[in-house]
Amino acid sequence: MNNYDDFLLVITVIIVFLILVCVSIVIFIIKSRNKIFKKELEKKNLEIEFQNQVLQKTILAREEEQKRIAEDLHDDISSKLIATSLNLFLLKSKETKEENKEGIINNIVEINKRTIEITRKIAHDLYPPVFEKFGLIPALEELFSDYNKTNAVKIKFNSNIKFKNKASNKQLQVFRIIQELINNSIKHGKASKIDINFNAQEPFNICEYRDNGTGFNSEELENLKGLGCINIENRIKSINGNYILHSRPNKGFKIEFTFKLI
Amino acid sequence: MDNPFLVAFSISIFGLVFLFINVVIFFKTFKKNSNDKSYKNLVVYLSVYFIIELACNIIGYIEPNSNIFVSHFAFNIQFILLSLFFYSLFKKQFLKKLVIIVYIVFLITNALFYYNDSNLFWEFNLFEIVFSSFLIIIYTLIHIYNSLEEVKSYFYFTIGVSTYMLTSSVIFLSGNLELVFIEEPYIDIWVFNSLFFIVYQSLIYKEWKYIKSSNLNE
Repeated sequence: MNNYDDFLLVITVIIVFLILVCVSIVIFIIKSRNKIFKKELEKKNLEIEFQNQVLQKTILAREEEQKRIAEDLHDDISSKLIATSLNLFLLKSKETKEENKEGIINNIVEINKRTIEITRKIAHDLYPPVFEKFGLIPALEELFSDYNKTNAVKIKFNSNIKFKNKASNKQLQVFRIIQELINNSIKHGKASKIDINFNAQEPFNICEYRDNGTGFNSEELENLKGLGCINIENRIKSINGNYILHSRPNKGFKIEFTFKLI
Repeated sequence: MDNPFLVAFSISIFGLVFLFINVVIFFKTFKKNSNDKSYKNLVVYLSVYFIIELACNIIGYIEPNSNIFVSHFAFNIQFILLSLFFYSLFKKQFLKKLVIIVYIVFLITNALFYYNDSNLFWEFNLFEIVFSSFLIIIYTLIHIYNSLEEVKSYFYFTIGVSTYMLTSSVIFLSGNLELVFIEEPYIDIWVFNSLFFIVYQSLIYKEWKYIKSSNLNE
């Protein structure tokens, strides 16, 4: 009887013990799931916040672009057209002497010529017609030769990649990235020399870009949050590329990014 | 009749040797981890536990079945050392306080049990086994919960402790019944304890390897 009581006691204790352990494990699992779920939620929220920031920057970049076009139209084309109409008004006026009219006409022709040139340039900046017709490389070469003509900057360009002639959206993104990089080099870096190399290295194409500008400390995050940098980063992401950039104050700027073209 | 005993005994000795190896290797990397309080506590626990196991085996060898009283030392000392280990592992103050309060309550209640029935010393104390094991399992669960989505610290060890506590306590609880599974050849329930102990030691060894590799990475 005593043995039987002992046996019952032990079995009861074991069962109670196991139930206690099971209950605590169940509580542990539920709590852990909640914790993981919470952390996931936090991560998602951060992602959304980041995407919002990117969206904000994109909108801002568009506004900037529109402002630039408006300024171009206002400063360059409007002023020229006003000058033309002033000259035409003079031409029409009875008080203008016959011998002066020749000069005024020449003036109008000259202003018109320059207006056409500026219109072409603005259109070019917005969407290069060479790109549409001949693809990326000729468009880039034209862009570089335009810059080289100014003598403010010397751009060297090499490529061993064979692009399809047909212009694609991805090629346009590469064009825009280069355009933005050159803009930054001249505007912020005051660079006088720029080297650009395109290398085909299976499975990627690599673009290596370097300038001799003033540079900045690329390890400080604040420096990378400018409008231009975010734009470039987004464009590189949009062509499924990766990038490494390196810059030191007074040591120029260097970026390498990968891209795949179809 | 002699042989199965020998098998059980050699499995137990193998676990003991494994524990000894673990103590030695944990001492070897002691300097590198001397800043880690939990590591120190773990080394103390392993060393003391080795001494207890050694004593248990020697007494059991000289006079079979007279080593039950060693279990009281084993469970009590194990509980205080692992409480210390988890005390240093927990970061939140209220958990640290909880460990201390729980230990004091356990100690008083356990003392009352012995005061009530001094014969308890010569058999397995059910309260002692159940609560010390259960509380350690709770500590390990709290630790695993705390380290979710963070860098693993003493993950293998905590897994090892909790599984060993669970299995060994059930075996120790049934110790008073003298359960024998198979008469011929003679295999009693303690073989399983030795086997689980070896699993526990292998997880401790894995923990040491993990600590060593993270030391190298630093």
